Amino acid sequence: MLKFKIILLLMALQQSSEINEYSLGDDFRKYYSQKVLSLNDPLTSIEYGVAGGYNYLYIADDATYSFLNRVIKKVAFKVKENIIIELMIFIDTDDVNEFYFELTKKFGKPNIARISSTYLERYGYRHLAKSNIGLNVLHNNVPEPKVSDFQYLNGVSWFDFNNKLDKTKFETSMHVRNETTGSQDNKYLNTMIIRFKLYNLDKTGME
Amino acid sequence: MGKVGKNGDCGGGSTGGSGSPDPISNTPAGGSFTHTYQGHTVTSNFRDRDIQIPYGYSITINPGDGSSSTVVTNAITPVETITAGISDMGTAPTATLPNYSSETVTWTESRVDWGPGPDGGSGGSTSTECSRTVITMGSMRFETGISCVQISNHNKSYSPGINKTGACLDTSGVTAINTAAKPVQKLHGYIGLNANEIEYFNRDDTNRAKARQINRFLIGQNFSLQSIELAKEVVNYILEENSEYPSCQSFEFSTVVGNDGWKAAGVSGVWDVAWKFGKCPDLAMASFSEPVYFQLPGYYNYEIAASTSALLLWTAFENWGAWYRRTYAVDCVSDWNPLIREQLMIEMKEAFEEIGGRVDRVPPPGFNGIITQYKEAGVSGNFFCN
Repeated sequence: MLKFKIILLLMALQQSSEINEYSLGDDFRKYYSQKVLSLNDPLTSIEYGVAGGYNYLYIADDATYSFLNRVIKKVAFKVKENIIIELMIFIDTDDVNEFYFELTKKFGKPNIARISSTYLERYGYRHLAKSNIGLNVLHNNVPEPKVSDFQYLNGVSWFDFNNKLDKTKFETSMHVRNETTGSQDNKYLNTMIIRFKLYNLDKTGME
Repeated sequence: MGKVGKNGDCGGGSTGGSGSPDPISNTPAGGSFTHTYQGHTVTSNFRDRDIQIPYGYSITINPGDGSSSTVVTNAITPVETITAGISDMGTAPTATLPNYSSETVTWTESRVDWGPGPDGGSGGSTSTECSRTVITMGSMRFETGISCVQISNHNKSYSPGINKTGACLDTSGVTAINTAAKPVQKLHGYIGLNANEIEYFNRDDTNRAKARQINRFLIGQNFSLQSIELAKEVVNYILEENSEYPSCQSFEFSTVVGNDGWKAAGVSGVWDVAWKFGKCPDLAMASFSEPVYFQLPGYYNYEIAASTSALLLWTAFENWGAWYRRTYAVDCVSDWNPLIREQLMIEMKEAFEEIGGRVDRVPPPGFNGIITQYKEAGVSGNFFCN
């Protein structure tokens, strides 16, 4: 039965469209369908957990879209003049560590990690914001996070990985974090939240 | 030698030892619980609302024969300090072990952490030194779990001295009261944990050690109602203090008088820390001890305003990290820099302005709300109050 489900999933993934960093700059109209919700109402935005200026939300009940060979559960679009300038992708996984390893295999080492209080606590700096510890002390005592730590951080970010766009004009970024949403069969279920952003560096046009 | 705790994973429960001849001197003011265990009187003392157990807890055993001994639940980890509500009981007498010997086997593991990336970069790997210790105590033999420290990346220690599987001994040579091979499951069985709490305690060995210590407390207290309530309080406290994400509870919005229903929330203590990878690994931090005033138009109700603000603050943190990376791409050293802090303010303003809101350092005219302390959400990252 499990094998059958896996085969079905693989077949579905083969037929799905990949939404990824190259979707930035796309014409949104090619993603528009009856399954797309408008997020103009703040209540709707909050209900679906995507506040912050997003315009549309696609809620997938099948494997229409995928990212890194995983089914996208929902994806929010920030659109300007029909051009997609930001994407927020939600993917469920029971192996968050593996997901981060796959990300680093594809995109390389991240550029920025946002350090969590949980990570700092391991090294004795739990109440960093309330203390007067110098950054040099922190730098000397808190090690660089490794991939297996990413799930305990506030998020990791990659920049400038999209070769489709002119890097002198645009900066692309990917921000990834995970939220624990429950447990099943002794495994913890996580939702991965992947945000792709497109910045116009000369501040004209898109941003 | 007094025994406390059930016979279990370590084959004989746990040990105490000859300790303080004057248990009274170790008795703090406040609540006191007494019960008998295997014929011994066990007295546990608390100060008001001071929850001692996870960070050094002593139980005085008076067998009734004029002698007394003290069992110490030494933390498996080095003592950690938890502020606000949990205080250190001071130096308790330490139980001593009978003669024992130990042998530690050490090895190194390497693992590729990331690939070369699309730009053909060099990729990276992590080296980890692991060890396992076998300790023989009389006829008993304890094998600790695997303990690993990362030896690349500044040679910093990573969860030092913590065992990955049911550890029976701590690193200081003091016996644990009871060993729990699966401390989180046991704690769940004792007091009931929700999914977030289970996830937190299972995160790493440090957290599992906390669960183990709470278990010991409950066992030592014979699962009295008071001890279960205290344990639940400890769990709540720990979870609250170990959360990560901006919480909607940071934002106590109130309507600004005479401003078309605009709402504002004053929040102090907003902070974030970013690590920059690359040739010049570096850290940046921005924090605001003074209040920051977040404002949203009147059509946001209080709950939606709070939830939206938590998500927008998240966006501001992300964008601040992006700015930091972009601005300090080639700098290897940055200490406290007001520009870095100010940039977070700029990012907060931009994030709120995008949906028609505002962020300021001064309260809007007509604001008469309260100032709340910045709070991070639960480990599940739940932004939502409504």
